[in-house]
Amino acid sequence: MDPILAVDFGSTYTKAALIDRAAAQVVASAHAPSTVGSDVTLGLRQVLSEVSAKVGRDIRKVPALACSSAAGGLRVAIIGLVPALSLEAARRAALGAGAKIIAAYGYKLTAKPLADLERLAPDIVLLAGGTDGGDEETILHNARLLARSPISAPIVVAGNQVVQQECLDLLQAAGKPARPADNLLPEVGRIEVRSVHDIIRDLFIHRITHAKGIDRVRDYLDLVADIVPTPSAVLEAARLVSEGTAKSKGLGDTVVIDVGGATTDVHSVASGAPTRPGVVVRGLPELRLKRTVEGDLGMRINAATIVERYGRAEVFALAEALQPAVAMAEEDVDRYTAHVSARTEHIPADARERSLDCALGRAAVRLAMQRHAGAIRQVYTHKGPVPVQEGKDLGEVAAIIGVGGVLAHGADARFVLEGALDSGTDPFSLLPRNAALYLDRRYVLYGIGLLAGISEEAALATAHNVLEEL
Amino acid sequence: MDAKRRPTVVLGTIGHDAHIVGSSILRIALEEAGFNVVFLGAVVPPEEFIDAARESAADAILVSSLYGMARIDCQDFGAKCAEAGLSKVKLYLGGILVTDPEKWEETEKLFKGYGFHRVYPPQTKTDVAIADLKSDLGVPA
Repeated sequence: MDPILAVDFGSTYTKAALIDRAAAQVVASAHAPSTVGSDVTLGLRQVLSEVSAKVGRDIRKVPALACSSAAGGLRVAIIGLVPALSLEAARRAALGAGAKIIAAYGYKLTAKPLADLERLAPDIVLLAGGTDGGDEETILHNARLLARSPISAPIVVAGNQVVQQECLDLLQAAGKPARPADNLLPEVGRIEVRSVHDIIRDLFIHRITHAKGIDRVRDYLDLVADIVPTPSAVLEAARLVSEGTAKSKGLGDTVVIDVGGATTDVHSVASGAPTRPGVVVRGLPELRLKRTVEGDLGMRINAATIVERYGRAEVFALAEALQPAVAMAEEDVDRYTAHVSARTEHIPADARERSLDCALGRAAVRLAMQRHAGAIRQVYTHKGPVPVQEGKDLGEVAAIIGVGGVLAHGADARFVLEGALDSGTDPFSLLPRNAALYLDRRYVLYGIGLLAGISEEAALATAHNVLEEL
Repeated sequence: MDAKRRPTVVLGTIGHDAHIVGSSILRIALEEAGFNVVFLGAVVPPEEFIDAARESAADAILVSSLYGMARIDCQDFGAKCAEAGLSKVKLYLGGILVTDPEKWEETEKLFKGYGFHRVYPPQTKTDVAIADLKSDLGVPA
């Protein structure tokens, strides 16, 4: 056995999985309520002793890898110029780096948003604006205001390079920890996120884990790599499973959907180029590795908003389709969502609740996928209709991997995940047409992403063994 | 205009118009003439010209329309630019602007009323527009 321990400090649970690299198997796993609010090591010690008991040996000396989304996650505020351009580039860059976007401001900052920003106390401020050689005024104005504010978070300056130094000087003169990055939008129609990703990752590793007290886990873990944000570990797992390694083939274009209690996160590894002829693509170019977070779609805290967005009758129809024999009324949808939104740990108790839960899950999956993929609209030109695509075409995605309680606990994971597929009724759907569906039942994708950092072959082999095809 | 900076123009075909050849030819000519061109392609909504001009601090917006519907797409274009803080940006329009050609003076008057500084009839050579652009922006010829 060649063991390695993967630990995720999540917002509600601390999770650990012991992976045998030689056999490419998860040997044991455990989870305990998160204790980041008091002492992060309490929950950690609990999962360590649980996993030790399961395998009959002390695992504290085993080399370990860790990621964290605890203590609010990586809270980033983004500032840009035009909402559809530099601000959107900043949004995609921050999400791709595993951040939670807590505030987004376009154009010149004014007193009110600045006061909001101070109150929100972000972990990082990402300051964009202007193409290279383009607008200088807005980013300079915003840098000046940030310099005068009491905000102490690191500020990543990733706008018009012509005034980059001037912005840094303004901020550093005021004692702000400002870091230069390449412009996120060097020209209209080109987005560059690598440099911003590297800096955010570095800040997370060297400042934020310390500030949040997460680095105290080093006393109990033999960490062989830096602690990274959980979403970037999951995105790395998606990339690995999709692309494969030098020796093993990957699954091809891949989507990972994580249906959580508060949000539904979608990760895609795909170019998103049109899969039909004659389509005109508009909008900012898409990133091959794309992550979106739907803050209004969650199985517990945001159960009611799923119903609001998808339609009560439609959610009910899904529940009925799944369990036609169970007696249910449309009002049960509201009753159930009201019940679970106050009880985030609720697990469905009977067949009626299970079908309602799966219906909510499927609705969340569908809405989150539609938003992630984008849309086609028909434009009627003198030469006839022309389809115009904005966002990614995921029609030829080969694999969809589902994560989350509604998938893991129920027997109807396939029904829930099918919400991500093209239903065949919309000729311009951008959703996957023929993808194979997989389930990460034991929630170990984060561990696969972490392991990929030190051994891609072992990580991919483990993924093949762990993911269940539905 | 900043003397060190290359003059920047936003260029594209407006509205529900898929013609891209005209603006592509103009793009090449502009780049050869030393302009920095933010090229938006075809089927571009008016708002995208404005967004691109703001982000790139463009000196001019060049709008192409070849399907006779410019009257609809370009209505109040100048006012929209002014609203977005771009009142100093010079606006140019060219192509096949109307389907039932009235007197050119009438067409020109209509679009100048929409805020365009210069309006070009069909078959205008690229060097005519480029010479105007240079003179309007104070770029040495």
